[in-house]
Amino acid sequence: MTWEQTARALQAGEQAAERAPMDSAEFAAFYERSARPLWAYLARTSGNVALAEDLMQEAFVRFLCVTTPLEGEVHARRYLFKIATNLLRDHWRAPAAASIEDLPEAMFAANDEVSAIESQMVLMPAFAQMRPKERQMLWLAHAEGYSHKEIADVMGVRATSVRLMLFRARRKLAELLEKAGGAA
Amino acid sequence: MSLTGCSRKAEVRRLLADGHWPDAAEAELRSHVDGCAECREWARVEALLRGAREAAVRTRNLEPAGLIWWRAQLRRRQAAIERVERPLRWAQAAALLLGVCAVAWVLYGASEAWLMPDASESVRAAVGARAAWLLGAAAALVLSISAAVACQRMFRGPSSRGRG
Repeated sequence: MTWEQTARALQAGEQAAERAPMDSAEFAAFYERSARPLWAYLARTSGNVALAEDLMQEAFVRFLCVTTPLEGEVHARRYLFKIATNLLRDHWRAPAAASIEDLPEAMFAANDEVSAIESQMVLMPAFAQMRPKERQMLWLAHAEGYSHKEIADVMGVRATSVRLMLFRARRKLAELLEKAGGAA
Repeated sequence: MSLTGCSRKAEVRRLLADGHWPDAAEAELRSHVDGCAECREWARVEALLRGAREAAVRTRNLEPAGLIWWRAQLRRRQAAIERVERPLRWAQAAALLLGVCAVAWVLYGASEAWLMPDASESVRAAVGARAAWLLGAAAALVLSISAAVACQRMFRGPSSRGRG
């Protein structure tokens, strides 16, 4: 192999590694469709709007750096949520991060410019009393409509465990809502 | 309540997804949900979470997609550079170590020669030649690897970026 061939191979390898899973136009459309739901997931399960913003951007950057081929938008979106879930988990595991149980309930108040009154007054205080995994599972199942298998894939848990964990989380939330006296 | 769930849950889910629950639901289904603790709990949780999602999605302003795109391109490029340079750095370190060993060997040989003033000229010449050969080989190795790194960086400069 001549030096020129080696150099061309190096360049070609670099360009192959540089190919994103989608081009910029495809990404812009995908981003438009999936960024808000992803932000909502991160913000409502972490209770931290600024953190959700940072993690959302980081999730998209990491998503664009993958070399695994993605089979369609559904798979891509699920993979994106998986990256975001892992980022959230890493954030909570980091020593500097406060324990999610220590955060004041007020952080879970929906502080968007316009927010559903029921969501703010009823759901978020109840959510604040639940574990992060429970919040994530409930959000993925009920807000995003993921199946048990998809939830297992996103959260990195066994599919057989999801049904029972979700059942318990839903019961717990329902009891908290009942206690708070929230209206359906 | 069972883990498998009430059989009518799917109907309620469909109506919730379409935004038709409970107003556009049949009276019979509404009556069932009122009487079925499991469906009632499930419908309430799903309605609240969907509402929270809709509220968050509706009001969120996004950063431009282009910014994220270019951040990702920079990171991909950096990762590709790291992948190519890593073996070259290992080779440079190995060459440096070889050079250090050669210098140490030469110094050892020279000190031996100095301590053996009665050694013949041919022995001294052999030691000197061997030392020179080793030093030259080490220097050539370091120079060639450094040249390879420099050329790789030169080729990297004008190469095209990813799509978009």
